[in-house]
Amino acid sequence: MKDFFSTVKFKILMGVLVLLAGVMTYAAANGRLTAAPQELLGAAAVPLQRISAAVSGAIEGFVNKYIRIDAIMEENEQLQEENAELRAQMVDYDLIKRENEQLREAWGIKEEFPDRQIVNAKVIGRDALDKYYGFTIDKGSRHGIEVKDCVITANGIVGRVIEVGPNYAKVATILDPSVSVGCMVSRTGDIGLVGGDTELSLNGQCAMTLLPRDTLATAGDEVITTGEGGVFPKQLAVGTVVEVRLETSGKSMIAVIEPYEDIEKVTSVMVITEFTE
Amino acid sequence: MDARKRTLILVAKQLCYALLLFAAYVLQTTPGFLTFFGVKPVLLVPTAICIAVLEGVFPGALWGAAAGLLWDIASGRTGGFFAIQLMVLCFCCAALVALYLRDTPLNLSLLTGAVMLLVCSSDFLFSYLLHGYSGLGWMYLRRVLPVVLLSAAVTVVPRWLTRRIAARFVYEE
Repeated sequence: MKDFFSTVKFKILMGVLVLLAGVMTYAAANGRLTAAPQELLGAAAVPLQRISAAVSGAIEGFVNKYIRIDAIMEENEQLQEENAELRAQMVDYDLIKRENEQLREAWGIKEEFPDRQIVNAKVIGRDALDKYYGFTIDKGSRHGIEVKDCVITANGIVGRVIEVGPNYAKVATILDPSVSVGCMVSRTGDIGLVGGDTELSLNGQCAMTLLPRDTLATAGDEVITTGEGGVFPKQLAVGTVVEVRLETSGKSMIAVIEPYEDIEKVTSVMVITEFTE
Repeated sequence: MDARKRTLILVAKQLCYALLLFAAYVLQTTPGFLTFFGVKPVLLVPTAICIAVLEGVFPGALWGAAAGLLWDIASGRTGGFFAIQLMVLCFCCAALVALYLRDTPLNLSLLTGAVMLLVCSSDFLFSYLLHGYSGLGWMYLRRVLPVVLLSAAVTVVPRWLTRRIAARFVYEE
């Protein structure tokens, strides 16, 4: 073994090590090295990732059916109760709907947003080391997706695009502290920033910071986007307030938010590539 | 003729290792694959270590660097971060098995666990701890250590596969 350190092979290894160190230094200084290796690997791996994600999803669903039978039965009972409750609420629904339509007309709010361009995508990759459940989707720049595009589902917002290749894009979720979204509590109109918090992310929750100290927001209130900053369109559902407490600094309040979407398990998303609000 | 045959066998074996690493990369990033309570194993590390242990220090270090580069791309870390670490650690693993340890499933699992602990801890330090977020100790216990343990536990599969490949491509005089 001692002899190995004086061989050509060892010198080659040292050369590779120095090369990698140079690559890392260059990448660290410039944000990233070059898109070429990622794009090349993406071109080869994305079709396989799509297949393995589909197979894995199918197997998971099949196994879950049997493993989670008790939980599913319990869930079924809960849903039946909820259904009965909702049926009762339907009585008031028509009245509220009519009133809502009148208000919408009065305020000139469009019911739909035809200006929004949406790309549907499937989640094909998740990294074991990503503590905030970031993921890779199967659509990229070829489909009009760009960095900072907003990622949502039918339930609510999920995150934003942080890296794009021709046929894939990487998404940072709203559980990630590096993501922050201008939001407001829909009932009280209090404005704050929704973003990730390391502690809360362990429970799949995020935080709404910078709420005024005299906020009237309470548990159960809904949180929606304000559209400030231009990254996320306005009026997208985010989640519900679980708890409101004083921030460590004591200057403002912080709300714990339960996102509408189960970010850890999301399998298909929509990317808003264009909007004009 | 013999030299040509030997080269062909060697190239075929390395090609199989490359395909195995690529398969590990695809499976590692597949959502829901081997996920237990939100924790997924890192398959590239045990695969690289198993190859290194079988092939020796020089090819082992190079395969470690290749696995590290794939992991850099998969996780979106700075290019070379995992590559350098895995190159050095695979070299050490191969040397340890050549000099002191026996190539048993338990030893390889322990080696994988130790390598994963070092690499994941350094990643945790640079990607999370230095950013000063709160509640990181709890996160380390709940998210990092389970990944280390799960990765060590699945080592038997790449070990079996790499041994099959090595046994299939043996050059006999």
